[in-house]
Amino acid sequence: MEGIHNMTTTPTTSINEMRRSGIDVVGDRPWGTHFCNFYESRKDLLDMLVLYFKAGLEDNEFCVWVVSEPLSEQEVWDGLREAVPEFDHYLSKRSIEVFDGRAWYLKGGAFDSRRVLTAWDQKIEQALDRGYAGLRASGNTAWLHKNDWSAFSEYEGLISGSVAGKPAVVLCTYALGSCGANEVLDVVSTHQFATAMRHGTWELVETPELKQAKAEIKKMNDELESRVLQRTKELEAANQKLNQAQAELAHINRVMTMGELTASIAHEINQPLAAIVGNAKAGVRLLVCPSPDLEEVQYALTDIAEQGDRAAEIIARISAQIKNAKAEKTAVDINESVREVLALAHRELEKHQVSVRTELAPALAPVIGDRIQLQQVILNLIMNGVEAMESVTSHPKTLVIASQSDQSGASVSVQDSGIGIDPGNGKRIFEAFFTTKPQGMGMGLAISRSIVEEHGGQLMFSPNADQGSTFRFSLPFAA
Amino acid sequence: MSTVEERRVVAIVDDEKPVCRAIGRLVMSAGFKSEIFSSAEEFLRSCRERRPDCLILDLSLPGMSGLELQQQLAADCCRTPIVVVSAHNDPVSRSQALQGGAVAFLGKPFDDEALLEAVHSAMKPENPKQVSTPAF
Repeated sequence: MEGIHNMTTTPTTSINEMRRSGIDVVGDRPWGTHFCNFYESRKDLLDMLVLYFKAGLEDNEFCVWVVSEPLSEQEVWDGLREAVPEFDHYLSKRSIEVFDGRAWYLKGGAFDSRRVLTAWDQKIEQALDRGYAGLRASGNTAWLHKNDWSAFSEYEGLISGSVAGKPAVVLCTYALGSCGANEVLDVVSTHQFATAMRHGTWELVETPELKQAKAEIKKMNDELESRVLQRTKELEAANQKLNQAQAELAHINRVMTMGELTASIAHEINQPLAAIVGNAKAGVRLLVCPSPDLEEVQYALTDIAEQGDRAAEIIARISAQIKNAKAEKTAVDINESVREVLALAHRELEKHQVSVRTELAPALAPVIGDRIQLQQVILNLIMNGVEAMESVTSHPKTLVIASQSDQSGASVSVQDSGIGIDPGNGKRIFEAFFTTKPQGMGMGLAISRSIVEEHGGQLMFSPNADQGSTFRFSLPFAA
Repeated sequence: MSTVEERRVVAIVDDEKPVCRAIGRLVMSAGFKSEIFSSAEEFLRSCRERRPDCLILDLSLPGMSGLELQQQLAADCCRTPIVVVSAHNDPVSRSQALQGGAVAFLGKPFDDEALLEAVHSAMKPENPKQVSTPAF
């Protein structure tokens, strides 16, 4: 069975599938190819057609060879038998049929293009029904008389339309010697391309339409490729933006952690505090009753002790969390940190109708510190300023954020025009859980101060001459 | 001093047990009997057998919320006066609770005197007017 290919190929076939033409100069062509050949000698014609059909047989195509002078049917069979290995196998399968040209084209006496086209269509159907991939055909026009030329030329044009989209490859052969210039032009224009024997070799002659079509396909491919490249670039840029946005989001989350931390501290610490205060007050009331229920008072005191321990545990856990947060100290451009935090707080500032003025010292040397923690401090001071101005209506709410430098380091100040700090509370504002805000937890400034001190700096506040307060923290320069 | 059988019962629904017990002791010190529940569902089961004379209710509870319990009691035509005590001391929660029929709304942390005052006035049948103390 060696040398026999595609014996099990199913009849299903893609119309865009490439077929081996068997002819070097033609190469692989898709189904629907309709081309012509101008031959000079019998031998050229036979050699080329044998190769053409050999490829068809090997690739599981049903082959129909319509023979005219100068070739005889016998020569064709002999040529095939010599060139195709296992030719008897194809013969027994009836994979190839050879017809006489006059009988094929002039059946019924005259050339009838419709009848011939129908006959080809039937051959295609027959090929598929019998499990072949498609039809490979060749016809010769030696029978053609000059007076049938125009009808035949029209038929050739119809074939191109007819085989387009069908699993068929058609090769029409013309004797170059019997074609004048007009005929050659007619033939070339009705086929997709031509092959011709020139100077002892086969050459490919393409029609302008085919050349144009090929050029257009190339252009479209190039355009497609450039569009794909463009899209890929856009996609890469979008991906990069996405990564950037994710990194920013992660950064925002880390900076915002302090706010979340104080909120969760508020929630956790409130419960034991409420229980302690409630039990203590109930205990006092129970004791002053005419006949005090001392057992119940004892239970209340036990609860108080337990809840006191619970509160202490919560505070210890939070302190540990704050201390354990690994500080990654690098050189930090504090002006840049201020700008980043302002970008984060932008929405909040807008919501509270606070306008911000920055007075950042130019060419400020970097400080050494943990960028995230320093931003947490700046954000906390800004949000405190916003809250201090919450009830202000008599003047515009303005926050002035400034950076300065001196010999030892840089400092950042946040100045609000808010309600200010009661002088009596001045010493306590940095204590944990000290707050004057209805919803405040009293952790922000305490945490901020511990961060700044851990960086070898100081966090201070001073009342403004007119209204509001200014918070300022200093940090040593990077060595 | 009235006997145990005659003492009026104040139910307390709060999922935070130590807070619940503290409120219980406060109402005990004022001469009431206290019953404490950690969820609205637990309270509803007990309420079917005996209705308390007053209910001190937390709003944020696991499962059925304090507001939902208020609605359920209203649907059951339960006339037990309700004093709401909540950490969510915002105008929306406050007005929702009062519109839902609570006779008083107190923010957490609460003042013991304000709470007992609210309980006392809630149980006066001739004086069912709503009391709403400012945030402490």
